[in-house]
Amino acid sequence: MANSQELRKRFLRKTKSQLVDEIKSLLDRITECQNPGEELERTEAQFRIALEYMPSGIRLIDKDRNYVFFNSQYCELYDFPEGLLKVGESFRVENLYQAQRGDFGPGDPEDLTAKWLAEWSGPKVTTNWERTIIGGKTLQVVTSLTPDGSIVNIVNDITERKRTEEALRQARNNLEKRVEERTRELTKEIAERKSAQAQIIQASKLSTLGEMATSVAHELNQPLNVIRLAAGNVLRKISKGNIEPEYLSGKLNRIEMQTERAAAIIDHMRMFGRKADETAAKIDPRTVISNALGLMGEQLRLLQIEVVTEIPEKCSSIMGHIIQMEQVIINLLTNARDAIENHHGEKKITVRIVGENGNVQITVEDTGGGIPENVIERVFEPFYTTKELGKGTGLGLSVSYGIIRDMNGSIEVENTGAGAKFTITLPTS
Amino acid sequence: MTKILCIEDDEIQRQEIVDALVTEGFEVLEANDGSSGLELILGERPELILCDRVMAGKSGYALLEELRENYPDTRDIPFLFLTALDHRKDKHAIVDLHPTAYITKPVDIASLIDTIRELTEAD
Repeated sequence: MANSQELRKRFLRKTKSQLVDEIKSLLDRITECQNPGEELERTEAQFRIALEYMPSGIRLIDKDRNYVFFNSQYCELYDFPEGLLKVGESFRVENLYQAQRGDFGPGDPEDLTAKWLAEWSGPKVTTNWERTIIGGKTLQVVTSLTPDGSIVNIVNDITERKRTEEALRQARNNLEKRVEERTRELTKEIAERKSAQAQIIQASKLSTLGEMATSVAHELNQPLNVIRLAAGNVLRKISKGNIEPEYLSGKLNRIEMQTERAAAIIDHMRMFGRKADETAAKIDPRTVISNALGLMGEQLRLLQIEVVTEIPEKCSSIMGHIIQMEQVIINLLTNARDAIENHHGEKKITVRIVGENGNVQITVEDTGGGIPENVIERVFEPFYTTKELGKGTGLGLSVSYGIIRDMNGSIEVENTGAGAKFTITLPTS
Repeated sequence: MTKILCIEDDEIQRQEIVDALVTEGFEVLEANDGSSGLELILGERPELILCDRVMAGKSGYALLEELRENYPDTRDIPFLFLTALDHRKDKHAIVDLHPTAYITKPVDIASLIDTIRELTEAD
């Protein structure tokens, strides 16, 4: 027969649930045993040692709700004074004690007792609840109703676990709060940066618009010239008294068409000057090139700069703001124009669109002699300019760089020998 | 009938100028760039050349330069520039080549006709 030392070791190696199962089995055996003898004594000894050495508090009360057993851990957990609980007496004593101590708050302990008694007679055989008693200790109490109507309570001190859980909850809350605060700060920073960037883009655009004023004057001069000539011809015919209705309607139609052309140029200028919408949209790169050349073409023609376009019949769309994209192309065309004007040689700008590997490449190549190698690395820096004072803001290429980067693309520059070549690579939408 | 050569690469503008000149009773030859204009100058000997300054291909500026350098016998043909440029530097560039006159776009037909009549001494 195993001595008490061995039994203790054996029980300590078992898990709580194993021990509970074993205790229940022992209880069953005790109940079923018709002839108490040596075996019963032995198992009872095992049972008592087991219960005594369990880290949990154990209480057993019979169907009349009198104590059958409680271990010392049970009394320690509740801080009951020695001798308060007595086998064979009613469990009410501990309720009364706890009520007087203030564990239950205000209220009649008899009501609580009655409530528990009602619960224990109900269909639910196991309850699990937590309670904080005087002194701040939190106890977890598992109550099981046995088939014979007895009540087994297993009590554990979960104060530390609760503290840890609370600390974790606090830490998590703090972390969430800090993350929220940081997110708010970041959102604000991003909004501020976006706003600053939008202002720079707008300032640069207005500067581009200013530079384009001459160009637009030339663009408008074309339709104005036709209108003036056509109107002059009509007036002269009328003064000579030999005007035919067909001649007159032909001239008026021509005048109408030219006013539409002039209005389209002005509309586009107005649109270019407006602030960009927040949302990006699908853009056809060919439209961008065509619009930019619509604003710059006549100026380049008057400067006798040949513009060659190599644009495919079909082209994938890109995502972005069309006006900003036009601004980039106009910046590149303006730079090319200035380089060509200050360089003796061929006067040619080639604008090319190539689609490959899910990207669209737009190149603007000039014959302006190229960018000196010692400054080529710096051309995308803000406020960096090689132009004479008052000619450029030094923002054009920097802003273009920002616009293209925001479209998840890249812009690069290289010298070709004859001039500079800017290559914009953008993902297709 | 006074024969005038109109060199202008923009077809609509050319049509209007030709229309104005024809209405005024001039005989008009047309060219759309400097090269075809030169051929007509040498072949038809117009009494006045009305030429746009900036054109695709050979510009009016290049044509006048060529006439002054290579065809001195054309110097007596009045050369009237049509130009959209009003920049002083460009005016000097034009004047340096000794055109007879220039007209700024948008063109006022009355001024154009008066100038042509003055230069050709046509009625």
